Amino acid sequence: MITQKPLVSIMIPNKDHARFLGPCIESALSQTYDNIDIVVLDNCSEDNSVEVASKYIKHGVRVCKNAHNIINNNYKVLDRLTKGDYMILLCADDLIKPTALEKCVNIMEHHPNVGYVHFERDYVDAHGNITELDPFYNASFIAPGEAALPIYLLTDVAQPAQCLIRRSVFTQMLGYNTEFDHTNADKELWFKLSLASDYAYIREKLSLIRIHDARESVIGFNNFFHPLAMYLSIDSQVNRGMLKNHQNVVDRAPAAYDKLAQESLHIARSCLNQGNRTLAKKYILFSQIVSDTIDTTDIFQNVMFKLNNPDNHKGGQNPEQVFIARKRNYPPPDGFTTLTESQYS
Amino acid sequence: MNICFNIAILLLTDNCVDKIDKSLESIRSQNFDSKRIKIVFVDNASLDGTYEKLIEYTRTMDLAIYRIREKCLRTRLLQEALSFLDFTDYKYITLLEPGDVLFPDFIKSCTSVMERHATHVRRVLITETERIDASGHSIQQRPLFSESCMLQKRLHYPYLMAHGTDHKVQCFFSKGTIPMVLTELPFFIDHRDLFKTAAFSFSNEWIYLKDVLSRLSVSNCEDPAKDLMLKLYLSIRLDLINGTVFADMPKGEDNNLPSQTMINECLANLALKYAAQAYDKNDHDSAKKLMLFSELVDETILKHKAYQILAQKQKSEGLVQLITGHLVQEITFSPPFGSKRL
Repeated sequence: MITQKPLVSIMIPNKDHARFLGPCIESALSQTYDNIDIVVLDNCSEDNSVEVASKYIKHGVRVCKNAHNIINNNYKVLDRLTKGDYMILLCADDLIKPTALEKCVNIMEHHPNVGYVHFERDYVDAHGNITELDPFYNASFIAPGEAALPIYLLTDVAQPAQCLIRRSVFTQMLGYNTEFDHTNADKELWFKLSLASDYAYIREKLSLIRIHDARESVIGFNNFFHPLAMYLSIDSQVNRGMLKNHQNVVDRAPAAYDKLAQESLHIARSCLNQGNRTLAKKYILFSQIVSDTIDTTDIFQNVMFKLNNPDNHKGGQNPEQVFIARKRNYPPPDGFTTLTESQYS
Repeated sequence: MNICFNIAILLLTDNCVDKIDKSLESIRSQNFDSKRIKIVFVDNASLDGTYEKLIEYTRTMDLAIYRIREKCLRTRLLQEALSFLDFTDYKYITLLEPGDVLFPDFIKSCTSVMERHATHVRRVLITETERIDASGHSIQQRPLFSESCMLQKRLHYPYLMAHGTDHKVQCFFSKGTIPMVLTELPFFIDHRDLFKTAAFSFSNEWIYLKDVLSRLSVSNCEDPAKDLMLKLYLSIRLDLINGTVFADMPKGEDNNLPSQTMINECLANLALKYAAQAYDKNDHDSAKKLMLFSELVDETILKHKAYQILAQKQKSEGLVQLITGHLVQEITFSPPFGSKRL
């Protein structure tokens, strides 16, 4: 008897990313895992995205046009459009490497308690230049979701294109909280998945995240959407009642707000480097609102000095690149079991 | 009008034993056939005698009462309540907060308008209200629009934002609207005010009644800074999806939609009001943060008299009264583009 391999749905939401969409779809089509279903959801693009996507219909790609661009409703719509046992949200400007899905499915099939798998990434710019990043953790592992919860209060670890989700767990947690924009919704999603299942992590760079000025998250930095979503996301995680037995997470809330304040100051500095004093001031004010102690820190003094003594140094990085410089890897969450490459390859 | 349908009034109770009488009395006093009014209580595992009091009421009134086994969040409670409503035969529904009061003509006026004008998309009606604070003082609320009207789809939201989203209304829905609103939400807000949740559904047309038909109590915001952050977040989000949600509107100033700048001014205003309240309570830390917030959303606020008073007199009492005259007043808009007058 031939057993059908589980189906993996690759869901590609797109808004005006025609120039990146072709490579993205091709990265999905070139997976070594062969039971896949690819859907492109176009969110009212004004460029030729639909034309680009339709070239792949003959390869079995389904192209759908959304009635509205509802920003973060992608998981919700795509969940209805697809039926795969596993699902991945691949943003239209990102790429996955050929073995990404095969490795994740291997883990998920052997470990039914694992609700989602994260893998590592590098950054790629609009011209295809790659910036190598340090992995977040220092080993591949499987860990209880519970142990990962406090980490998501402080950071999001991965983006949607770095995660394969088991649909039954996604369904079990009653869907997806669409309150937050996608840059924070993913963090919220990891959090909810961790409440319902175990978590696996592959310390291998199996995706490329595109960093460019038209990226939604960069727009989110510039229109101040991002920090507000971060703030509300922390509040949501701490105060939603689902954490009543997780005091270890709630206790981290002050640290999470402090970290958000520090990140805001890094962005403020980046804005000042780009000559955008108005936006920088907003981030500085925001840092003072979310943290009681931020104005005693060196970075605050440093940014204030920069604000009050503008120099001619212009042309800094875009805000997202501020976060590239992670210099350390973290040990896996408590209770982990190490995964060797032979266990998932 | 020959009435052959029922109206459900849903009350979600949570440790509010002292507030039930007032609301129930106002329902009893409706100028409407009482047999057509179905009162449904859903109690969130209250421990202060609320539930027992409701049971007591069943001796003299026809009430439906459901009690949740384990206390849950408001959103969940609302979802549970809607599932219980499946057992109730009704055509229209309104949600009444315990302690709030419907004026005697509320149901009569709302049903009369809905019977004439409701359609499969025009199924939400909002009426103006009187607002009272915790001490029972009436708080002035300018009408949202200068006259009663039927709004095009989606248009309610930016106008509410331009009132700093502090404007209270009482809603009256056609059956099925609320569950649909909850599931159709482009983004779901776990918020105490159903109205703010419903406001995010873009698939309904709204009827606006300028008549003041209820009295709603306004409790002080538990965490004003968070409330303002949420409002700012929502307004930016609306701005982001403007291009597609309002795609069929005329571009530029012709569309008469309130701008983000106008919304930000309202939020700054609201922040100063909350800051004054915090100073009056000697909560200087919160007050300072709220003033920072006002500056964050509106750089020009530093020049406003209300801001300067707060900055200079942070230690005096009665600041709320002192700055009230200097706050920007709410605006009453003309009925917006494409709306029909009633």
